[in-house]
Formats: sequence, C-alpha cells, structure tokens
Amino acid sequence: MVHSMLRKVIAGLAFIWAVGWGVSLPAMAADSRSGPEVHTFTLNNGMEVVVIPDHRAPIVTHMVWYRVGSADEPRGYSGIAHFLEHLMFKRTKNLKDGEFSKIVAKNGGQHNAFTSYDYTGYYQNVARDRLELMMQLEADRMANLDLRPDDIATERDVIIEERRLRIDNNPSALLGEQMMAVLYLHHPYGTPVIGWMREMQGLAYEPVMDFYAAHYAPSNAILIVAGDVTPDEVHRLARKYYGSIEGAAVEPRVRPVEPPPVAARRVELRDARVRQPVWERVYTAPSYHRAEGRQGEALAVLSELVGGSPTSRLYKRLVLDAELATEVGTWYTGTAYDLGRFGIYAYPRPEQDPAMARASLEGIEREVEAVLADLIEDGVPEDELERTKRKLVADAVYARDSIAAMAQMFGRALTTGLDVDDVLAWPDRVRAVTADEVLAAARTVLDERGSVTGLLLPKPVDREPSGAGDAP
Amino acid sequence: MTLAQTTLSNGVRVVTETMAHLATATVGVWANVGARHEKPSENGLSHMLEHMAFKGTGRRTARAIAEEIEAVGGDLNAYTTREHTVYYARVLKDDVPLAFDILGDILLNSTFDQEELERERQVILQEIGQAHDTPDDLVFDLLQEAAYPDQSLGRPILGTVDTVTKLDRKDLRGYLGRHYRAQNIVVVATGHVDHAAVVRLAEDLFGGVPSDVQGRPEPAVYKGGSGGVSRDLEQVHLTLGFEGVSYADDDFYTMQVYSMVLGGGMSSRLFQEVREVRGLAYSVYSFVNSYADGGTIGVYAGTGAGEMDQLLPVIVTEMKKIGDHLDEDEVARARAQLKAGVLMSLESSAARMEQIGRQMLVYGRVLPTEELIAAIDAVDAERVINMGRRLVTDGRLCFASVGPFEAREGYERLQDLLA
Repeated sequence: MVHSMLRKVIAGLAFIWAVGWGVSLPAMAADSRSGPEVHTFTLNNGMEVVVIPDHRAPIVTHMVWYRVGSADEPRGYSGIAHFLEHLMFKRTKNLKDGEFSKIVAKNGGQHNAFTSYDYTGYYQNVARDRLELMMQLEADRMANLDLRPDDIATERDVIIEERRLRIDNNPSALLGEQMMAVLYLHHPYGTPVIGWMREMQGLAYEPVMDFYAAHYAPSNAILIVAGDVTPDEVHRLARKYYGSIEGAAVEPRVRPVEPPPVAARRVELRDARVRQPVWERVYTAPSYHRAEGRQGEALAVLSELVGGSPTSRLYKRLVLDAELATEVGTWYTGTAYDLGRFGIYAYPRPEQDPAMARASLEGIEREVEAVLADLIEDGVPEDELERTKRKLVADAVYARDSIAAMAQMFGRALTTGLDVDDVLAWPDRVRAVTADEVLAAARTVLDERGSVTGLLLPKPVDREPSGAGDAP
Repeated sequence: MTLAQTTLSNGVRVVTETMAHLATATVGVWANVGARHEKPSENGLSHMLEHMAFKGTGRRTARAIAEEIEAVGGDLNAYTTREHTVYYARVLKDDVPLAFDILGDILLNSTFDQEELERERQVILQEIGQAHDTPDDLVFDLLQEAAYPDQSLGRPILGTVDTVTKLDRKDLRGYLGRHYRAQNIVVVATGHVDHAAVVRLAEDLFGGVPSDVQGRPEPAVYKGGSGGVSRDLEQVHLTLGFEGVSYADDDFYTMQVYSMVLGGGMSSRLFQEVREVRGLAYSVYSFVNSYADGGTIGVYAGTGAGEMDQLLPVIVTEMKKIGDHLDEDEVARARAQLKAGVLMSLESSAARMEQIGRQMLVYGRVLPTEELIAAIDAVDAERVINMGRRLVTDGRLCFASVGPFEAREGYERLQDLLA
C-alpha cells in the first residue's frame, strides 16, 4: 500500500511500458566497454538461445519468447494471441489442469506470461538448481498443449473480465485504445492486444489450436536464460529439452503496410467517470528495426529532452512557467517490428468547473505545439544534448542491476527485428547522436499529419451553461 | 555481500550492504513517520512534506535539485506509507557522495517556498483526483477506513481535498521538527558502497539532528465494518478483510503462508477456484498488511455485478476449507514461494535498500536471510489451519466495494455466509 508521488507514477508509466508490456524504451545494455556477457547459439531445429551469465545470486530467469503477437492474428479473431497465452497454463498431454502452476510454486518459482503486438513471452524465476525442471515444463507446453472445450469457455470468461478491468473500467485506457485505432490506418497495431469485446466473445477451440500450430514452434521461439548459469550448462539442457521438438515450419511475418498519413486525427472521449482530464498526442515514428541510421536513438534522445524529466522543455514551459499542467511527459516506443510511436501527454491543473476542462486542454495543446515549434526552429544546444545522452546511457547501466530486466530487454529486441549486437551497441549509438540528427528526427516525426490528438474529458452531469456548450 | 551497521552519537543509524559486483548504488534515508502520525486536521501532511522536499533548499532551487542529480544520470525519488517516509537516490558508484549531499540537503534544509507550495498543492489535489478515478486504489482506502474508523491509521495517505487545501508552511515546519529526530532516522546504502565512507558522509549530514524522542502514534484499534462508492462501472471492485497481526507477532509468517495458500499466485486456492474453474474474475488475490501494532488480512477481486452472487460464497467457502483441511504439501508449496521471494530480493540493490530500511525501523535490526528462512520453515499445516479457523469464526469482517453495488449489502451477505 505504497502511495507514491505522481511524478513517480508517471515516470513509472514509461518504465512499465518498457519492462512490463514491451512497448517503449529500447533494449538497453550497459556501456559496451563493460557490457554484459552474452552468449548465443542456435539449436538444430532453429530455436535461438541467448545466455546471460550473472552470478550475483543463486537464481535464474528462464524465458521463452515467441515471434508472434496480436499483430499476427487473422482478421476477425482479435485477442487470440493473448487468449492462447492464458490457455498455455492449462493442460498438456503430460500435465493436468493447474498442475503447471503447482509444480512451479512447489519449487519456489515465480512465473507468468505476457502478450504484446509483436511477441508473446513466458517466464519463470527460480533457484538455479530448478532450471532443468522449468525447461522440461516449458518444452512440454511448446509441443503438447492439450486443450478441452471446457477450458476454452472458462478462460474466455477470464479474458473478458480482464478486458473489463483493464480497459472498459478505465476511461483513460479506453481513450488510448480509440487513439491507436485511428492512428494506424491499416496496420494491425490499431487493434488492441486484448481484443475487441465482440470478437473475444466468439473465440473458439479450433482457431486457437490453429494459431498454436501455426506459431508455436522452436524455429519461431527464442530461449533466454539469465542468471547463475554457464553457457555450456544451458546448451546441454536446451538441446535435451527443446532440441528434440520437431515443430512445423513457420510462415514469415507479412503484415499490411501502413500508407503515408495525409490528415491529422482527433479523438475526444467524454465519460462521467473522469475526474482527471488528460491531453495526449501520439505520432507514428520509425522503430529501431525500421529506422535509418541513428534515427531511433535520436528519437530516444528527443523524447528525454522534450519531456523526460522535471528539467525538460515541456515541464519548464507547461508546469513551471505557464502553470497550465501539473504533469507532462513524453515517450518513444522504438521496440516494434513495424512502425513505432512517439507520444506526449499532459494533465491540466485541477479545475473546479468541469465545463472549463476542454478550454484548459486546448491551452495545453497550444503550449505544447509552441515548445515543439521552438525546438524545430532553434535546434538543440550542445550542453542540453550532452546532459540528455548521459542520462540515457546511465539508465542502461541501471538496467543491468536486474537479471530479469536484462532478459526482458533481449527478448523484446530479438522479437522485433533486432539482434544481440544491436542491444549491446545501443549506449554507444546514443553517445554518437548529434544535434542535427535530433533535429532531423523531430522534423520528420513531429508532423501533425502523422498524429492523433486525444482529449479525455468529464461528462457534465447537467446541461452545460450557454456559451460553454461544446458537448456533442 | 557484506552488511555493516553503525549508530551515530545522536542516534541516527547507518547500515550498508556492499555488493561490489554492481556498478551502481542505492542510497535511502528512512524516517519513522507516516500518515498514522498525523492529527485529523493534518491528514496528508507526511505526504505533502515528502513532495515539498524536492522544491528547494537554502542552497538549491527545485530546478537545481533536479538538474544536479540528472547531470550524473541519477534518479531521486521518495514515497510515503502509513508508517514510514523514504527518500532515495540511485546513482552510479562514484556519485554516492553527491547522492548523500542532495538527500541531506532536501531533508534538513528545505525552505518550503510559498509559490512552490501552491504549485505542489495542485499536484497533490490532482493526485487525489487520480486515486479517486482508480477504483482498485480507492477500494483499498475504503477498506482501511472500514477497518480503522476515526483513526489516523484509517485515513488516506494523500489526505483529503479539504485538509490538503488548508495545510501551510507552518504545518510543514512543525511536523518536520517534531518527527524528523535522530532516533527516527535510518540511513541505508546498498550496492557499490564503502561502509566507512558512508558513515563519514552520514555523520557530516545527519550528525546534528536533535535526538530527543517523539510521542508514539495512537494505537491501532481494529474495528471492522463496511464502506463503498456506488459508481457506474463495468465491474465491481471488492475487498474484504479481517484483523491480522503486527510485524512482530509470532504468527506473522503463519499469516503470510495462509495468505499464500489462499490467494498468492496462480497455484493458490482462490486463483484456481475463482478464475481457472469458474472464470468469475481476472484478478483475485489475498494480501497482508502489517503495522507496528496490528494489521489486516484480506482478499481483493474484480468481477461483473451479476457475478457477485456467485463470487462471495466461493471466497467464503475457500476460506472455510482451509480451516477444515490443509495438507503439508500445500503448506510446503506456499513456504517455497515465500522463501524464493526472500532469495530473489537479494539480487537488487534497490530491493535490499527497501528491506534493510524497513527491518531497521520495524525490528531495530536487519534480519539475516537464514533467520527469515527458518521462521518461514517453522510454519506447519496445523498453525495455518488454526489461523484459518480463527479468522472465519471470530474474525470481525471489514468490506469495501467500488462499482455498481451496495457495500452494505455485500457486508451483510458475507456476515450471513460466515455465520
């Protein structure tokens, strides 16, 4: 029951995006001169293996990532990738329903799974001597999932409750979902990972098993083991448990291509549950995988510099000088297989009169645009650039403090078109970013035509006073 | 990893754990003061003080504080709980002296500038609005109030719009002077640090803090009852709880094991029965809150309004079942989970800073890992069964809900089911 300061919550938002749901800051390794020790190899069946030995505590993080996410779903079956992730905890040909979790718990393990647009991952954190058992369990469900129709019906109720909890109950999440749907004109990133309710209600046994058969194969998976292990030991165990799985060939990822945008879009959500209005804008932006040169790193620098901290430009102008907002921030989602995103958000100062909320968000929007215009007009001074880059590189060093977070970084990178060297080179590439590159990235990405602006507003309980009436 | 402890002449305690393999360090300053030390009119003051610490000192403006830590790529932050306030910095190993300098400065020399105060008041009011908009936050505040009505322990950490609007500089200064005394302060540094150097830094900064002792907060008196907010939502968020035990209680780990069996993780009884077998909720879990005196144990779930009729009996049945039967295997599984949690917290300097600081304020010492493991191992099925029986037979219930549902109705329904 820890209450934290708001700015911590907001800073955490970007961090959770990065670590929890794999949609933001890039994979970060420490300084390449003292970077982590990373070993890679590929099994005969095509399964990639990454080992990150770290002997500080007798524990291991064992993860299997599949190169499949919601953006790989067939049309009409939204949510099926995430649904399958849930069902993977049900029975296999060798284990009864619920037994997987019981075995992990009995062995003192913590385990879970996650689904995003481009990947699905499963992990266990365990004592080092339980690694072999975890491999046995994970390899078993890669090959032997054995669902019953009953499992489908019950678990579908669970994901429907999950959607209600995460999205439908939360106006700010609903706005985010609507914004994504209009930001992407054609690409499946516009479809929510959890799925649209009506399609979720129809998810059935056969399409789930077809999806499993099409995507869950060793050649489409990456094993990541980080912690108190040696590469030799992991190699031996991986060959024994995963190496024997035959798995079908997996079709290459071919996704709809997003056309160039021609019009700025706006979304306004009014909801009686809202007490805190929010202004947001999201632009499509090149991901690390699709970027040219250091464009991705330049966008990471741009995000930090414009709104990453209490010393950033947006904070100074909107919170301190104009006193329009209590909180403002930016984020860049570079780990995406296709088109990434650059986002800005601000919370206005609490307003006693809900009818004024819209005007206050419009004031914020004008000020944000002025800050961006100034940056594009005047460029970035060297000292500001250096300070920002130093912060990003230090973040990469901190990221090494957590064994599980390291494994996460590599998994996110490797499932979104990057390789281990890309991850290791990131700090050096950030150091090399020039002011001109930041400016060029800003000019390319901060084009209103490639954006959606979202307004979250309270729904007036009574009719609005005349003159302030802007309700639909 | 090497643990070392020194007490300064005025009573400030300094603890380090050296993790030489890391390139970073975490420095924390813990104060034994939180929301439960506040008078009713002061509700939210601990948290406001924590916010204002970042808003300027005699030597540094708010901007300078942010810039100095940022210039070395560090992070500076703080949080307030019902019993403690924690200020901490994460830095690269060579910047530990700077981290100390800034932490000492913001704790002891803040000016509470009027203009900054007004701005921060808006931030906190917004934070209160945000918490109110977040049903799964709000429901826990309501439960706390139902468990400890009309007591400081039952009031929200953020305070209320009313109290936060009225608090002023005089309140901040008075509170700081009363509670930030040497005996209440623990300095913790973990990661790539040197104990002797840390003690010297702590002596320079905190050696002059006055050392007389403050009064204790009012004792926690668990009462029980219900509280709720009826709101048009897609789901009902509900929590129910019973009187639990303090950190120091002999049954502290029994309660942890009980909670793990009931609703801790995917193999727990509630997860399996409520989610996996019946599909009634996505999120269902149990939790334990312990304080210096007393505590609560409870269950959280989010479900559709139409499913409440099914969910409440299932939760009560599962609680009763633990009192009827529990085999050693299941207890061993819960113990293994708790022990793994202890083991895994050893890897991170931030997690260790947290553990050490809390243990110093709660127990007056750092508990060795072996002792924690032994305490967990000492919990057997019989102890957990006894606790389970006690909770459902003579436990006084507290209940809270947010959503399309009447809390009073849920409370009465549960009372009937428990009878």
